[in-house]
Amino acid sequence: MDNVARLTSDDNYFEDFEVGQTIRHARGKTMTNLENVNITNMVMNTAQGHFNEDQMSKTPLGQILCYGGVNFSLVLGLATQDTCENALAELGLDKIQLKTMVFHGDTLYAYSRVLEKRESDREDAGIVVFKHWGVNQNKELVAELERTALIKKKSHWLDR
Amino acid sequence: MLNIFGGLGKGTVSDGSEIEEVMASAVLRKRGQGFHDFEVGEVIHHHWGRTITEADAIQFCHLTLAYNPLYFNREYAKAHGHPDIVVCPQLVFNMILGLTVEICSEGLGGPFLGVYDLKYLEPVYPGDTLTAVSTTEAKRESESSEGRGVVTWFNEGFNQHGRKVIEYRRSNLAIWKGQMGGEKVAKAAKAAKGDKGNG
Repeated sequence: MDNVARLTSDDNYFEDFEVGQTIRHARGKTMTNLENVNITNMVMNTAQGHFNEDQMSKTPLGQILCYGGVNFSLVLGLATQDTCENALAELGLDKIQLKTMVFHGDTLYAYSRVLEKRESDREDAGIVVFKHWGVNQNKELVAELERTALIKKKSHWLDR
Repeated sequence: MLNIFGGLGKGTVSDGSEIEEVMASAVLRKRGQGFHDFEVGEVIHHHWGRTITEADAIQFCHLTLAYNPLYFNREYAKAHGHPDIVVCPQLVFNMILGLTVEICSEGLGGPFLGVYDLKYLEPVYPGDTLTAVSTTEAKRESESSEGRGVVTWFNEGFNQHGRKVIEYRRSNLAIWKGQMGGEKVAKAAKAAKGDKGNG
């Protein structure tokens, strides 16, 4: 494939990130059955609190509780275009903390900050550590976590 | 004549009393295990395994808005040295965690608290088959609330070649007295529901 650089933004390469840079991501997404129940079932997470409305209606929560793995995956997704669209690989996650419960109908938004930038063992890409935060429609912190990614350098990839 | 509507006609297959008898005599086949069933140091080989398909990979990355073309443009992925699209790493994480749920957390009665030291060690491609292994690392009873504790496992995911593709630590709250929710949580949930105007 020629001109791969045309397929992604030109302002989110390794050189573009600065430590301390803080980004509010443009889009939010409302959690529904499509995200929570679908992904919970797709990955065979068998905990029925995430898909049995009747059972949950009889608990103090009164409704289905969204699976935390979907919550933070959506936060990471909301942040991906701005931070990892030009990543060669996501290397890892750390300090994933789930702070507030999420229910169907809640809307998540994401914020990111560049924590660290360093060279990698390859010339054409460097490592960036981001902190990501997800909040709900009431501005309550839902999840926070760090993501480490190997990100292309403009110097090597912008003309490819 | 077969009456598919059960109790609605004469000479029925079931007149409704059969299901009452079945429900009264059936023995619950429990799933999941409790806080006290875990032993620090034990190694758990999880059930099922899972072949990740292209449909799984594409659907997951699009539902979570994970916009890196490696995850959904095969030609782009090939131009970066991959044989196929790369499965969105968060799907790999969720697939491995999903396989561990029945044994590890389904019976604990409390939520998933956090994940630490997660490493994506090798790319996963459509058609790869993953299996999960857990090692119980720690168990701690809460000093402040009776009937509550935290269990931590080291989880590893392997592909069909026996190579490790992911590892991480995760913790879950266990509740064996009372129920998840409690006063504070129920109140917060009710308020949140009210705020959304759908309560």
